[in-house]
Amino acid sequence: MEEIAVSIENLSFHYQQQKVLDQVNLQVPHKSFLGVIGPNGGGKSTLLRMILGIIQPGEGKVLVYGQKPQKARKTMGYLPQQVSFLPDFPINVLDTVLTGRYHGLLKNYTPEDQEATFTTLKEVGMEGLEERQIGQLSGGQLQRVFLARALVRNPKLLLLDEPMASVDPQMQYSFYQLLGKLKKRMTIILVTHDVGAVSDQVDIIACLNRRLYYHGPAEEAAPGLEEVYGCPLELISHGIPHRILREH
Amino acid sequence: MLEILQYSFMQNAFLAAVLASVACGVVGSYVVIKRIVFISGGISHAAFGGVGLGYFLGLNPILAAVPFTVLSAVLIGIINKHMEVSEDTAIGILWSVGMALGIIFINLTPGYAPDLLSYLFGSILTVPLLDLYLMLILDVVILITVFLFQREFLSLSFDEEFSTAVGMPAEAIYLLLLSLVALSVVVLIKVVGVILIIALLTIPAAITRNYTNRLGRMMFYSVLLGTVLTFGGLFLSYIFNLASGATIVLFMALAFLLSSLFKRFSGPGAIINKQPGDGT
Repeated sequence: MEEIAVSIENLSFHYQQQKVLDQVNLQVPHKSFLGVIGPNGGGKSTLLRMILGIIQPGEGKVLVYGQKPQKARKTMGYLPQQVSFLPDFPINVLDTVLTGRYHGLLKNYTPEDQEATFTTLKEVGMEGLEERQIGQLSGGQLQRVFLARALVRNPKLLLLDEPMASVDPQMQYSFYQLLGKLKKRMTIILVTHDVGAVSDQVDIIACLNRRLYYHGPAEEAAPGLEEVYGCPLELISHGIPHRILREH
Repeated sequence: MLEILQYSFMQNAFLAAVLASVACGVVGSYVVIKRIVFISGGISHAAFGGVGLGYFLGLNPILAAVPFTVLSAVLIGIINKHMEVSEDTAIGILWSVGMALGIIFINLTPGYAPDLLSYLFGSILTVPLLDLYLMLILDVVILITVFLFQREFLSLSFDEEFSTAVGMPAEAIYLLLLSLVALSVVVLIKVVGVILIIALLTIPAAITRNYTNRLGRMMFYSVLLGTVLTFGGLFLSYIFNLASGATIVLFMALAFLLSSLFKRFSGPGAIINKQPGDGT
């Protein structure tokens, strides 16, 4: 049987009397690349934060590699939607990525953690910028640093919340190339409201707007997207401009 | 000029200034980078309730302020995270409730409170030796806590959500940080008084953060700068016979103004370059 990375059963969640997620069922196989698409406020970030165990589900069950999210934190790497910090926050690239290797209270970072940080920064193409203050990076560089911070944990599951929001189109392409390489060794879940930001690297698409409207192969996702957004859409894939995946 | 150092009350005042600068340099750096200035203002005003409680119970007001202020800080933190009120509303309410409690406690105390004003506006020239020892102990507690939890405090200040995702008990760490703010507030009460504390917690750190991108150095420079500026203010207050707490704050504000002007008109070499539109 194929290994299941994330298993979500009958998940519902309310926030201040408002239903954010309604009866969501989702199985994500190991080493697949899932794109969760839906409008803003459709519950995408909430779903990610539940998988991470940052918030508890109201009803239903979330399992990450067969464990409760809080127990499975070592298996997950996370790139949050937006990190708001002062531009002159006193931290450099190296120390930022190092926080991804956090071991627990009163436990210092080890030389292996340093080693892993350097290796990961190299992998995302940020070597040589270890000492750079975080506010002096461009949007794309910053996103690579945050990706490194997620990857430095050697996760089995990588969770990305709107990773392309502050990245220009050229960078997006190389970012996706990198994710394409990464999916060979880990499961990736990417959340975005921007249909155009989904690339052909994505294997499965889930359309989420409170409820899960479609869940299946990327090529057949267009009807689900239409339902979610309430208007006809053309799903185009990146790198190959205007390749329409489905004729209307 | 140096003859003022021969007075024992002046020696005590300078010791108090050093002890206060340690607390405000170290904890003030977190206050500035974590952007908890307003919540710290709330905590410092709430501390007045503890001073009043001290009067009421016949205890040393500074000693009574320690548990009271820490509890207020934790309470503000919990309300902030769990109640459906906006952060500034919650802070604003606790801010004035702390002050009001202080006044009521003092009302209920027989006799009258002769040095009440010194807790509101500071009285660095009359710091008793016992309070100096208390400030020293609190400084040591602050330094040890920061040393032990420096990784958590840095990660939390930078990105609370990510810190939670890597398994950090983020809320407990946040409450611990607020408790450190509370302890610093108590250290600073005698120096500038509850009303002026927030200036000491923010100004030295706000100046030094322009000159380094390492948190440890920012703290160290802030302690030094805080000491120099407090000494300077104290000196000026002595020469012009002005209220010491207010003079220290105004002197610090002047330094902040000059530093901001210098930052604006100096070349990029001296100061960390900020690129507008970058840090999203």
